[in-house]
Amino acid sequence: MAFLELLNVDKSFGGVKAVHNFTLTVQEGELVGLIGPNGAGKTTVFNLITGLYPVDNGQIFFQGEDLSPLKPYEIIPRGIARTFQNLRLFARVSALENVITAYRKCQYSFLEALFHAGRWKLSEAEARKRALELLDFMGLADKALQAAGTLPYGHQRRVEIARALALEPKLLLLDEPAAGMNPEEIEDLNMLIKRICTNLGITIIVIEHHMELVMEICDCVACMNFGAKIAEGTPDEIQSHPEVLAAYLGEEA
Amino acid sequence: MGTFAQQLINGISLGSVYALIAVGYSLVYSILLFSNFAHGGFIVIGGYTCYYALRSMGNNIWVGGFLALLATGIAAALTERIAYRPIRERTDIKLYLLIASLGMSIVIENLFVVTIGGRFRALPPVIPTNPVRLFGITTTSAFDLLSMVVAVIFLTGLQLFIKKSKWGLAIRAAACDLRTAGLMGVNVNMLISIVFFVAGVLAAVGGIFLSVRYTLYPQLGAITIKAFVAAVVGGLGSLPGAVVGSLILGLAEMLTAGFISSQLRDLVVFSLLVITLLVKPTGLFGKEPLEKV
Amino acid sequence: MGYFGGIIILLCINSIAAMGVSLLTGFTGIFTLGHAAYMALGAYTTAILTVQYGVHWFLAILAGGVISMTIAYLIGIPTLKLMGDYYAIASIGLVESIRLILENWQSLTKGARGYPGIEGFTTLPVALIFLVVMTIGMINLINSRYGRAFKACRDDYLAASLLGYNTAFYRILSLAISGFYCGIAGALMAGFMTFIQPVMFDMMKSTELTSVVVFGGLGSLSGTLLASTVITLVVELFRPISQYRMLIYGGILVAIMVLRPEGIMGSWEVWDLSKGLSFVRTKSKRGGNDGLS
Repeated sequence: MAFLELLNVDKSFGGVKAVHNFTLTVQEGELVGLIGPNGAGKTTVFNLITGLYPVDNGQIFFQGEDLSPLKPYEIIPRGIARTFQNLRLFARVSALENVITAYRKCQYSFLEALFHAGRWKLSEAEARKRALELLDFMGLADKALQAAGTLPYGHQRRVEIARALALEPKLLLLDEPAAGMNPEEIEDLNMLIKRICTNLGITIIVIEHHMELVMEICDCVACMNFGAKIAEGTPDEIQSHPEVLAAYLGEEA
Repeated sequence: MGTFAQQLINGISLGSVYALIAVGYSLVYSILLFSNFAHGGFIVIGGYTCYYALRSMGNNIWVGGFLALLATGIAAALTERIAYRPIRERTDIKLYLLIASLGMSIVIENLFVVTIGGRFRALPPVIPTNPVRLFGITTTSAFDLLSMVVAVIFLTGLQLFIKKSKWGLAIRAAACDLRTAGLMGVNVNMLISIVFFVAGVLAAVGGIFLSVRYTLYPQLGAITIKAFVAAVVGGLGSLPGAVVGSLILGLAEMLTAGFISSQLRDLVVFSLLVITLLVKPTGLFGKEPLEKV
Repeated sequence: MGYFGGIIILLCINSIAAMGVSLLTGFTGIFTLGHAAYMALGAYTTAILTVQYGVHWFLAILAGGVISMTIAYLIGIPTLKLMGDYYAIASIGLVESIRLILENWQSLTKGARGYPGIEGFTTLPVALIFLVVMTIGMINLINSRYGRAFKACRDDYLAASLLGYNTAFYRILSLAISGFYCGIAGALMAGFMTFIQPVMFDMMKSTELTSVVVFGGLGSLSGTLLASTVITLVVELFRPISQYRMLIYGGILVAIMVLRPEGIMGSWEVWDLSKGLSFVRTKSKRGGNDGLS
């Protein structure tokens, strides 16, 4: 049984086929790259996996369970987390609180919250400790108390990844994590993604617009164009695949 | 039969006045995606401008009406310029716009309270209200027929403006996606000013008819809640929806007043809102909002 | 109980109601124009239970809170599931409908002329104890996973739902709790005034509650309490010029939104200041309550 399996998924918006007959299989522990020109439907695939949009046709299986009828708040607790192409941090609260917000092991009741009694104290302390660890892992320990919206762009991207990790996911979906970063930061980020995959044992799908970036770290790459998958294989195979080259050249021409 | 037809015409007439107000409100909503609670203020501005123009420049409805429409259009565009644009340009948090519009509605209403007082005023009798015998079946008033005709004229005019003119095209584009329209070279600030001007003009027409129907007072703007509800029933942001919703609301209100109890007519409005939200939250003509991530 | 004691009681009542609105608007980002309706529900429930059914006042107060909470919850289900201004519009309809029902259900509510003869159970100690307990409850709630969920819905509901939060649930929960707070405030009001009338809980009261929360700073509980105190005192001291009060309110609302939407306090709390120098040193321009105080 595959870890994540998308089977013949279709999604259209008012007659435009955003994703068309898309099939993808991801094995546990893999680091998969999803590439393609702008508007190829990559982010839509993430939106479908996380249940933000319902699929028109086809099915999505995660650890053998069909996700397609579920809502985001039912899908996420099953072990999927994501980041966003355009950052979606809670700008007004601190980086730390952003991460704690995602930490879902605070399972105290409403009454315990109201009186700060029972499991509240232990849960909150645990959440705070865990969130600080994650920020530290991301190299942001000293920025924990700053309002997230005031951090530099590159830091915000990393807070967002820390927040996604706080969900303790089995599958992490990264949507253009390198957007707006300089080459040096991208190099750091690549290392980090690799570490999340190997050290934390989290399966990752990463969307990238630039082919070169994913080639370095991914085990397997799928390329999309006009909503359909046009190629799949190892980075080397993809780099020399004629249709992939055509898709990218076509865009630049 | 006669009474029923009478209430029917009455309802459609009231509904068509609501439609003028609801369409303007919905137009603004379709572009900026927030409820402009100051829209009620525009009605009051329209009413009072017309009142004073008639009093001071002889009872000529053409002059008074024109001045009221112009003044309200400008006041609406100014409201946007003063209170909404600075917020819009800094943040896309809709809550701030809602609060600012609440502030503007309080300011407009109480400016009238403070300067000319809260007294009820009747517009000089420039709009005929005499009874008219219709096809020998029923009696209605010329005022009811006139409000329908005027509403049809203005709504057709709006339809032509949106479908045929260059700015109308820009408005349709902005209703799909304001930011993209801006990127395509539409002058967004100008566009929004025009939208508010148009909404203000329509509200002024509605305001004049409402002040004939209910007399004129600073809190007259509170009646826009009915236009808001009509817009929700028809589908927030949809112009045809706003018209249909208004007609439904006008009919429901008048039929309740005529056959059940006039005290319950406002309760029917609220029930319609709740029923719509329970049965079809996007309204009759509304589309499911699509989130962009 | 002297004049001064009366003002303190009024202050407690207004603060409890304002905290309810603060939770909804300041912390969850949902606009309301109708929270006086929940006060009315609480007040009338308590009045009817104590006078007609001889229920002990303490139980009656709690019942008032619970009834308001239930109605808020029921209104929340259709209106808060979808994003958009549905609740804002419905809240205006609600406050009008509640008033109509109170005025017309003569046998139960004694109509528009008011409900007399309520026991004066809201003494100074009772009001203070309620205020203290409910303030502590609110602070605790905000500094818990529930508070974080509310703020997440406010700041970016899409991100919140993709962190696994059922945003509709939390928005409705926030409304229910805020309905409870306003219901209790209304119940205490009934025991303080010993005579209640539908007009005491009109749009103006609702507007005042929302204004207080904005003045105090959206997302600052201590700001809400401060603003509520100031406004209550201002209203008492400047009764003679009350017609200008609303005009000034409106103007300030617009000004705050245009100049400084985060209000007096921003999202800063008074108790943040006591956290020591290390926190102050790392403080950022826009404030950074880490929510764990």
